[in-house]
Amino acid sequence: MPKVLETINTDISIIGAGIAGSAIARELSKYDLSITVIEQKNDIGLEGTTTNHALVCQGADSLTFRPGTLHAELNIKSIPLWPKLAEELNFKFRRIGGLWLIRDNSDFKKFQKMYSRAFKSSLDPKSPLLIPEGSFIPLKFLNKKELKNEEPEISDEFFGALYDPNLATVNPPEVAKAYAENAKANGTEFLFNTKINNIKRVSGKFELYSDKYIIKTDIVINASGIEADKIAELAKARDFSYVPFKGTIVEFDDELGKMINHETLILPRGSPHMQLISPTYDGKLRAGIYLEMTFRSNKEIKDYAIKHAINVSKTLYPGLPFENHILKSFTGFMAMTNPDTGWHDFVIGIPEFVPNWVNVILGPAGVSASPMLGKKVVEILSKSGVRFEEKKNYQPSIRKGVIS
Amino acid sequence: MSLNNTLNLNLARKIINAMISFSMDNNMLPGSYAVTDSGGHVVALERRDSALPATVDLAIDKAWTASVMKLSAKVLDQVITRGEGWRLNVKYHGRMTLIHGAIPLIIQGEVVGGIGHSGESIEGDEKIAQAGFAGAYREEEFETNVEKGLEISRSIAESVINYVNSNKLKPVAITITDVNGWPLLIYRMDGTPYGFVEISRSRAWTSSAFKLNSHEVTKIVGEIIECPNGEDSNERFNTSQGGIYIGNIIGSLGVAGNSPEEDYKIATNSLKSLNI
Repeated sequence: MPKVLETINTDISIIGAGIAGSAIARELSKYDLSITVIEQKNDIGLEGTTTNHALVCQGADSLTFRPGTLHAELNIKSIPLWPKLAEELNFKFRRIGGLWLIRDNSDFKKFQKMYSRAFKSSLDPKSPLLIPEGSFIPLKFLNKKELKNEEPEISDEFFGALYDPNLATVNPPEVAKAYAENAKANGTEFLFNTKINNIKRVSGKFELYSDKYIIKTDIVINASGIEADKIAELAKARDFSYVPFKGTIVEFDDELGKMINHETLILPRGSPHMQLISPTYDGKLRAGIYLEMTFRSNKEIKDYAIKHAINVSKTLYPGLPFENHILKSFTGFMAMTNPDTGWHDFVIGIPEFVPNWVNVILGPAGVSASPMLGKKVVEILSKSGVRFEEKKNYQPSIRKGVIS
Repeated sequence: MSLNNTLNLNLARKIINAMISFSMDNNMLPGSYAVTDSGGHVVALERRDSALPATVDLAIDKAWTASVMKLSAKVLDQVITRGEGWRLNVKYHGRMTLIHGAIPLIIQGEVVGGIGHSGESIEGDEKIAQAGFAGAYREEEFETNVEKGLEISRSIAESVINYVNSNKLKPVAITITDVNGWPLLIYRMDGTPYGFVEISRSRAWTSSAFKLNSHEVTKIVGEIIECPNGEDSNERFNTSQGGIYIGNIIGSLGVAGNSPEEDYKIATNSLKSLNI
């Protein structure tokens, strides 16, 4: 006998409770709507939200993103929102600052361009993405002596650095949980251990099928991270493509964490792998990142990827004994669009032939853009004709546990 | 499980399937879907039934461009040549195609081939080609519900591949054309020298053009050596054995890779096992 599924009716369903799904749930919980977040795992943010370098692009790096992309827009607009968000939701937001090391004239020229772009975005009132006053500390060039003052252990090979004092670190799963718990306190429902197997459209409504429930919903937001293509295909709503990009990161312990104060990086030359080491929110270090395109089931940690992280750390800080202080290594996946050119961009949009369905594909710098995601989704849905009415009793700081 | 960095027929077919499934899901115009190896030579091509005949060579040339330049047409156009791309096009006798929808297939950091799509707008072509690239990085196969002509073409090609494999013959190139002589499908089995692709295509064209098996054409028209309209277009003349006229929904089958006699045998026996 077939099992009888429990039916749930809701206005908006969000598939995926990572950083994207949780951030969008919180934003939508400001409006008079019933919202259900559906997650296949048993907690918030267990995939891409956990496996990343935990940085929040706050200055120079956001401004390096290709102008005119959604990637740049959402990241730059998120800059002024972070400190307020950290205060409202009470999570740790640590400004560490970033040092972009200069090896030669070529680096210097590249950074000069970045510096002027940062200058423009933060000061020119005509700039389309003006960063409000006070939320962006100007970048500055350091000479060798100043660089040594900031990082005593740094290699002598570098002539100086571009210093971005804005860069910050958070614990992304903690942030995702904060978003989710605030959304829950404002009426959002969460379903864990619920994997969507099938999606039907019946008279303008979506029916999402899992082993336990049929969720009947007017609007679906597909924020399922690296699985977003498969979820979208169930509803014939995949109008985007991406390739799983696997990153391997090595974490070093607190003892070394004390020795390095800033995110430090060099621009990779002739290699696709990132070359950086950075303190984390809890005083450890994360280094890497070895990047490769592969199948999403290939989560194996390779020796050469670990070696890459150690080599990078050694190049930057030759005097520190990195080999003896490895805490753990891990791999994670991000969704890379335009993998042939490297011109990555976010996808947030409604497919042409599937109304009331929003795809949200983030990839690199997704955590940093999270404060703007919900606002963008509301903007896109409003343009498509959905009416949003603000809730009178929304409370931005209260929290309620999501796992019942 | 990780991805092997060699491009074979199975991977090329998977990429094409991914492109077809993407364009069908998004109600896009039917077109031609090509995958070439690192030297720019066709590994697989499929054309949907109602797609424009000219898209065949456009798709192949796009994939060729991405393979031999190891770059996307988008980059060649916008970054490298900055609007001066026609110079490259003239230099390569019109073959270098800087129209979007041509992207290199990259596996383990290496360009192993090219993907080309033609038949949509430039944005559409680019999106479909991207879907093909992404398809290479999906473990499961895509299910597609293609039109009658392409469906029959696929089953004939399968039958040829099975016949060659089970009789331990040399691998072959297969071309299936419509009644007007335009390819619906080109497959090159792994290990087939690329020269056989054009031979199989000309045998199939000749059969469609004269509604006869390729080697029977001389009996009717005498010994013509040169192609009536030259080699540049789809008009290609070849009266050796290996081209079979079918003439029902699809036009002809061309097989090449062994001796002409064996190629003819492969073609007839493969069709027989399908009762065509």
